[in-house]
Amino acid sequence: MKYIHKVIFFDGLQAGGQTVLMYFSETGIFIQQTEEWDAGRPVLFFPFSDCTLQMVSGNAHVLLNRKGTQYMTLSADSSWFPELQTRLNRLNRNVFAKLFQLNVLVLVVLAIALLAGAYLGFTRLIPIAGLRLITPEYEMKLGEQFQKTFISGEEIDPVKTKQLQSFATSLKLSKTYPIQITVVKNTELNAFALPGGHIVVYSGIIHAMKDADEMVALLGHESAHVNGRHSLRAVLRSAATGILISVVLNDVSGILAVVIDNASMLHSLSYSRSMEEAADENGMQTMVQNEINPVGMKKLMLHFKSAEAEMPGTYSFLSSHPDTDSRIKHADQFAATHKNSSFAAKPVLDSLWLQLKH
Amino acid sequence: MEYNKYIISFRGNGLDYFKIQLINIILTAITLGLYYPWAKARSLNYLYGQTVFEDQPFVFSGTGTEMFKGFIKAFALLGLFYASLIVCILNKAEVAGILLFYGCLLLVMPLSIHGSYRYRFAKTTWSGIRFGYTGNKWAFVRLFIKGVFLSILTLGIYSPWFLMDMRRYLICNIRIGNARFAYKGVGSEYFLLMIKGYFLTALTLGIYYFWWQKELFAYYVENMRLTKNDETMLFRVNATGGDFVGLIFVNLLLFIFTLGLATPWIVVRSLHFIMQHITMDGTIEFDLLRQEQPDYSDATGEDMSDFFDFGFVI
Repeated sequence: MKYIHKVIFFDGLQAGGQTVLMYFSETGIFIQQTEEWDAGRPVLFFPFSDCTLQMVSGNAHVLLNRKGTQYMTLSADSSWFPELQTRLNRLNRNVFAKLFQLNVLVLVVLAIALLAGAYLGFTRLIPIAGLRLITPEYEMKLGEQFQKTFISGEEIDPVKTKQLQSFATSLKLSKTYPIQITVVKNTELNAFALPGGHIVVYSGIIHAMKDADEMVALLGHESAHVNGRHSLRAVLRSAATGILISVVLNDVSGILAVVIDNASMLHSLSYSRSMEEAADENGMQTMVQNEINPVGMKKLMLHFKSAEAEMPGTYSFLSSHPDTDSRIKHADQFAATHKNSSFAAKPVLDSLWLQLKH
Repeated sequence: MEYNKYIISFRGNGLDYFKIQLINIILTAITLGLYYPWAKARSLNYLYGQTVFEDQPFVFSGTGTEMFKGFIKAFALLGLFYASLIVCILNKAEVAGILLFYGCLLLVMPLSIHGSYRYRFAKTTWSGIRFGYTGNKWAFVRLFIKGVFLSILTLGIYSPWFLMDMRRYLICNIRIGNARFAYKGVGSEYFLLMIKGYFLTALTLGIYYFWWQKELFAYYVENMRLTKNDETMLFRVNATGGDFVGLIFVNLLLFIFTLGLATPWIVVRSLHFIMQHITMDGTIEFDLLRQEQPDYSDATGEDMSDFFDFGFVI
């Protein structure tokens, strides 16, 4: 019979292959372990649904069961092989097989598009969900923990902390969160907000400031981060990114690491540009509400821009934000709208400021 | 008995493997990570299937579905650990919580390695003959805990002995049909190899590193045996330190200049390199290898070892 072919068959009992006779129908493969086909002898039947094709450099290995114990090998050059291949593939057309037939460039584009989409969706959804789940009360507790961890490695200035706290308390900075100030002895020009109302100010920044309105601008800016829950947002966004990367790289253990890492990296976390712009804007509104001339924000920025030029790298307040000039411009525009408003003198605030400076 | 030289080679190519990884990424992203076990099955399937020994390829018959079940179990177990740790911390029993956590971890690590070996080898066949892992779960747990404690007590000095004991136990329990693997590396030799490697690498400003890697590779490979009754097969390494310079250096450059995109090619290159530089000879008649290892399908260990990053063991 011309439809009967010789192949090498591995029976799953012993390793060596044996030459057998084989033919295939619409439904599967028939094998008889003889040299010449004998209708009276037993025939093994393997349905196509159990078979898989494994191609290795020009040789076809047809696995006859799902366990890989029985298979047959044949040369892919055989004239009848394409027909067998079509029948084998017809039953194994899953998503993976379909995608595998696509051009590699198409796959690259598809993967990039999906990843970009997933990235954008994920990094927006996770923060939204997280912000809803985490209450301000819990955020305050969290901030307490972060503050403790942070100050354990720093030297606190208790006198200045108390003075700056009175300064901050005399202002209206936040409706939801109690603003708690910690002054750290450090010459760096830096200040940052933690979730739940803690603001850490380096003594270097107090030393470098001239007027009270600059401090109001700084506190206004940092409390805007607190009120806008910016650090929480940034943590959630960075966690979302990390989780996504882990998923993509098939690195499950990474997911746990990301969650743990982020908690400790909080104060070095950078806010996004839109968060900074919002903090500037809201900070200046806070200044106006407190009847302080918002021009203080511009003074603060200009002041530290020149300080930064003298001592590059020591001014973290601006250094994480590349386009300082556009922020200064914005502060200038905001101040200009209040040019004609009159701001009363603030004797209490000024005296608190003088105490702080000396 | 006839003396033979055996040939092993890797026939895979970077482009195919790249495509597989791309599809895995696409499907994993669409399913929010749930495709992970199937993705892993695909990769293993390809890498095993393209490895050819004596003209016959290896077959990895593990499936995503099996590994998915393992994935769920592993995830639940891990959740339980973290939950108990958090409960302890909330109840101000930090010390108890941490002890419990590390205790569990010390138990889970060897159990996952054991599970991973059992599953991985039960699912690997060559020429229709199944591999198998016959190690005893609790014997390995004892070996592991003893090794960890002695390593901690001796500030790490014991760790070469621990690593070799572990390797010996694992490899000596691998079977293919009615043939068994053996490993005869010992801690003292490995310790000297490590000391020599550290010092010479430091003295030569890192140049010796490649020759060190070659020695370690040779120590792993050349101490292996495969025996079947009175027939044996020996493993030898024919790579030089210079070959390792080529492998590691080019891999590094490929990785850096493609920002990691060339990883599939790096994997394929490395496998080519390994197979090309191992030679085997001996008297085993592979045609007469008999099916003897049982069928086994629980993949929990396979996935536990992923969670804890135990890839280094295999």
